[in-house]
Parts: sequence; C-alpha cells; structure tokens
Amino acid sequence: MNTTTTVKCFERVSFILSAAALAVTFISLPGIPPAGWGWFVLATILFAAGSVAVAYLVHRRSGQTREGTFFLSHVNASVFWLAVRIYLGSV
Amino acid sequence: MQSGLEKLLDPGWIRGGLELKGFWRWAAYAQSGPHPEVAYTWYRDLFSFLLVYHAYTWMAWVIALSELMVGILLILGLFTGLAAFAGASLNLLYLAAGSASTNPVMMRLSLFLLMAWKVGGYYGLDRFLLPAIKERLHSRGANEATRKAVPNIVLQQSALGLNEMHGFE
Repeated sequence: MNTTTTVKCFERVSFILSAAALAVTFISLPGIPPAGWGWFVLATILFAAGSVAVAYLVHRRSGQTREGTFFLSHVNASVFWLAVRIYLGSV
Repeated sequence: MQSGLEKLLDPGWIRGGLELKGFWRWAAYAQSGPHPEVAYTWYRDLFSFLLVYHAYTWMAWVIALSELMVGILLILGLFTGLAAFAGASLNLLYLAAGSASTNPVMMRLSLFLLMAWKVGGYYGLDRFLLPAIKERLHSRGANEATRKAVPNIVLQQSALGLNEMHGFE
C-alpha cells in the first residue's frame, strides 16, 4: 500500500464514521440523544485523531512534510476537525 | 445545536425567560463564602443589573439562537473559525457564571478548532468560501494599489512635462 492509499484509507473510514455520527445526531433531534451517542462520537473523534497521526507519520516517512503545524494546517488533518465540528455543533 | 433547539422548544426558557431569570438570580445573589462559584464580583453585579432591567426576556432568545447558529455553522463548516470563537466565548461566559458541565471540554476543542481555522472547514463550505474571500480581498487590494499609484504617475508625468517645457534636465 503506497503513501496516498494508506492516508486515504484511514481518512475514508474517519469520514464514514463522522457522517454516521452526524446522521445519528439528526435522527435523535430534537430530543435527548440515544444511549451510546456520546461514546460513538468519542470513538469517531479518537479514530479521526488516529488517522491524522497515521497521515503525519506517512508524510514524514515519505519526506513530504516536516512542518510542525501539520495538525493545524494540513489538509489531511481536516478529517479530525470534521469529527470535532460534528461533536461541537451537535451538542 | 441540540442545546439551542431544546431551549427554543422549552416554554420555560423562551416565554419570559423565567429559567434564565432563575439562573441569573442564583449567580447574582446565592454566592457566599470565601470561594463563591461566580468568582468575579463585576460579573455578579452585571447579573444584578440585567435582572433589574428584565434583560432575561430577550437574552433568553439571544442565547438560544446563538447556540443554534454556532451549531449549524460548525456542522456546515461555514465560517468555522468565527463559529468556533463564538462557541468558545459562550463556553467562557457559562464557565464564569459557575456552570461547568461539558463547557471546559467544549471550550478547549473550540480553541483548537479556532487555531486550525484554515483547514477546520475543509470538509464543509469553507473549502469554497475561504478561497473566494481570499481572491476577492486580493483583487480589492490590487485595485486599491492601482488607484493609489495612478495619481502619482500622473503627477510624475505632469512634472516631467513641466520640466521639459521649461527646459530643465
């Protein structure tokens, strides 16, 4: 598996989880979220953070980037911020 | 978003702002001992002032609509940095008023999201909006520079013309 495929693979899983979290949010509106919603969103955020860490390592190994602000400014980190936005926006 | 919607659908919150009035009353007057939950005296005084002028009747709407708007903007990824800043500000206000709940976690996440404003809304509308705004500002800046440069050029040319007319080098 090459660099781009590895990053994309993790990113896609995070994206699917985030979309599911968003769907569950809207299904539960406007009442109280169903049991387990908080755990699901937490798991989504953690997986997204993991995928960004993988993306960072892959980029470093392939010599593509050495920037310290990868987590705050690289496009491959935006999937983590998507998960964070869904959590912050839905509660 | 859920918090804002629940407030908007709650008659106790919206009609007359009675729930907010109760909270402000607690925050303003029910603080005693060396370590009160609302630490700043000016903040307690602000609540007293707002209670006197019945500001809870419209502030209840402002709070509920702000929470709803911040939630919608964050989910859509529209003006993510500004929405994160507004969300963090709301969390700060609640925390300073002695309500912890999930506010510390949300505030920290909002601040990180604010720091990542450039890519925070990449999977959202900011992906298209931010480059458009940047392009517009850039073109406006270029137009402004041209507008400022043109009179100078005209002056220089006229000065040159005068110099030539009077035979100066």
